[in-house]
Amino acid sequence: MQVKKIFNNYILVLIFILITVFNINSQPFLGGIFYTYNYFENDKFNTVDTLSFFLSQKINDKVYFYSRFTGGFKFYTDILRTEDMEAYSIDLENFYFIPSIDLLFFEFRSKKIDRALILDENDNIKKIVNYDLFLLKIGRIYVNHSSGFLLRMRGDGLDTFFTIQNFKLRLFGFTNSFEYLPFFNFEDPSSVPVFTRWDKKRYPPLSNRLLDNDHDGFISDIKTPDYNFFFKNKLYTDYSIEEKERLNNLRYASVLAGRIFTGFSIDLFQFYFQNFSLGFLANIDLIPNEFVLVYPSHISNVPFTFGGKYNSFYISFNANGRIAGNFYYNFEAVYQTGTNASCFNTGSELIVDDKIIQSFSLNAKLSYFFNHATTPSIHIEFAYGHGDENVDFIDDAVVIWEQKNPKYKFDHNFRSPTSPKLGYALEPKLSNLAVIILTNSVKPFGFVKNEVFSRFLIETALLIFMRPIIKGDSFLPEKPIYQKDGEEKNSPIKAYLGTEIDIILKWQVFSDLNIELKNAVFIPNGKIHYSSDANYPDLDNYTPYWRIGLIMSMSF
Amino acid sequence: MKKTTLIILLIFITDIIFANQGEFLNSLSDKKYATFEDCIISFCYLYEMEVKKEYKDNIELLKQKIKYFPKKYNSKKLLTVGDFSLFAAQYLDLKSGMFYLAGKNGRYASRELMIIKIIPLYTSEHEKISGLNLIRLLQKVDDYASKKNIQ
Repeated sequence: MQVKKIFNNYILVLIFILITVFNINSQPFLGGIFYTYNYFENDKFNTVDTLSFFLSQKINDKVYFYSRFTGGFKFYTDILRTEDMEAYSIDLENFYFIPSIDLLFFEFRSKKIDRALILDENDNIKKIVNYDLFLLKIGRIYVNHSSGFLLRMRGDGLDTFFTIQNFKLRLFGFTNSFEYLPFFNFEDPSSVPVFTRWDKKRYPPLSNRLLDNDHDGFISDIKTPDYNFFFKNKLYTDYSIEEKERLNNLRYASVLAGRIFTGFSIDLFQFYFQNFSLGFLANIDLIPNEFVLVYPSHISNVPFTFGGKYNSFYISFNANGRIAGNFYYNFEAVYQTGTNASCFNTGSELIVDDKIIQSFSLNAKLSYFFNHATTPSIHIEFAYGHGDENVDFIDDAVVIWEQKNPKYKFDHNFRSPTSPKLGYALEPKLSNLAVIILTNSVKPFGFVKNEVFSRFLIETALLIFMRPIIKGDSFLPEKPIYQKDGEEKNSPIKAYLGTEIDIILKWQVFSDLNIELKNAVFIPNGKIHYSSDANYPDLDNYTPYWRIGLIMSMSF
Repeated sequence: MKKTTLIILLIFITDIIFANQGEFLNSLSDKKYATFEDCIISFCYLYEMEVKKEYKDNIELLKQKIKYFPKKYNSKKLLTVGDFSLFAAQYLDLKSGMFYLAGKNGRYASRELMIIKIIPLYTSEHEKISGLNLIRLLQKVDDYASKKNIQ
């Protein structure tokens, strides 16, 4: 009976493939991209070099197939500094291969109405707007929700659009669980958002992968002073067989339990040069409750064993368009709710308790584009993500220790799956952060007749970072108070975190060759930035953070 | 109806009409697939040349203007996007693609035409072109040339 059922399923799949193959009457579009990204920062050198191949196949007028595969490597070296010398450490553990399936999806669409100039009944030329009434993508897709402010990542699922004139309804749902499987992705953090410490550990490094041996594989190491949870090829003798088995079984959860992202948006677009969008996004953590505490009996130090669980929901509103002439705006407001697990140590056991998330973020931007051959533009932007003094950031994760405030019920810290780009030096997440950004761009050789040089672009940016909740964690380990000579100073400078200056040179040498040189320096507020000198903790520390990156991409 | 409208529109908006052009466009619009010869004649019209009866004569005529031809071609060969793009890119004097400038072939010429939105994104250079689509593409090429003051 079972065999017959399987056989029937195979027949169905075979029929589908045959129908698909016989419907293909077009040639595939094939191409590739070489990409290299190298950057230096304070104590590190990073390089990512990849080669991608993509294929686009029109199966018929209504069905398309897209895929993109990437191979390459990532490597970083730490700079070792001693009194006498400075050297890069070459460690093979810092070397990663990148075999990745970037995209793999089918696209179904209703027949498109051509964008064409036609004559109407009175012989006047009129335009027909081009749109797809219906579009469905299914497979490994890239999703950009709420103008990319909340979510821009790839995953496995579906994305649908219904468009009628100026209205668009969009529904999507996907998971990033497969991102944790080696075949799908080894080293691309873009699809691995970090809310909890679990999110970091669901992504074990290549050197620690071991799936064959039950007892040597996935363990929690109580000797390491950190929340830990990884594959390790060593047999620890101080675990019982049962404990090893239980811990080792976590590896399956590590691989399969990712997150589900689902939501919808209703758009009114191109309405008198204005676009409006109302959206909803749900981020559901799939980690089983029993794995939130990896090693529940080990209560001596909560950070060793508490991984966290973070479910969040977002309601967003976006408006953008033209104010007048070349003057444009963009406005985004987001309300966030959900639950964030906290951990409480009673002295005899560890208790996990969900806190209600109540938070919000804002983003407002004004842009002006000048009419000149050098196409200058200036922009002013304000980004705000609320914070919470009871929330700690540990390796980007949002962690609540209940000992800090036992009456604490709400988590007011804002955190979205992907954060808007806020500078280049440190790329902080929009959590407990208010940023004023001034940017401008110009093509200095725009008036030159030579096309190659006319595409040279310079972008500069000035970013001023502040923290709305002074006692809350920010992206740098800052002091909550401004102290001098052992005395607490009551000054607004406590809110100011630092300033960043970015200079980016972009040169699209050819349509298929692009070079970028990015330079950024972040100067922290030395009054609250922790001093590296333990003897003088109140010493001002203005040591800058810097990053210089060179990017080249070539399509062929 | 749609086809007729396009042809009428093409005739109205271009200034390259010769006596036989209307007849040529009409026969072209009925073809399931355009041939290489159709492409040669079309570009002769775009260059405002007097089209000859013989295919070889038209080739020689066009070689005065177009330097790079596909490696293999004959009059009956079905026209591909790559062949068309190679001619169109030279007609429009496109110089933005590194691989196109290095290779001067249909594959990278078609990429250049994708960038300037003459042919749809992700169109294979091996794709065959219907007669009606060739007319549409010629219209787009002519529009682009007018905007850039080419010819």
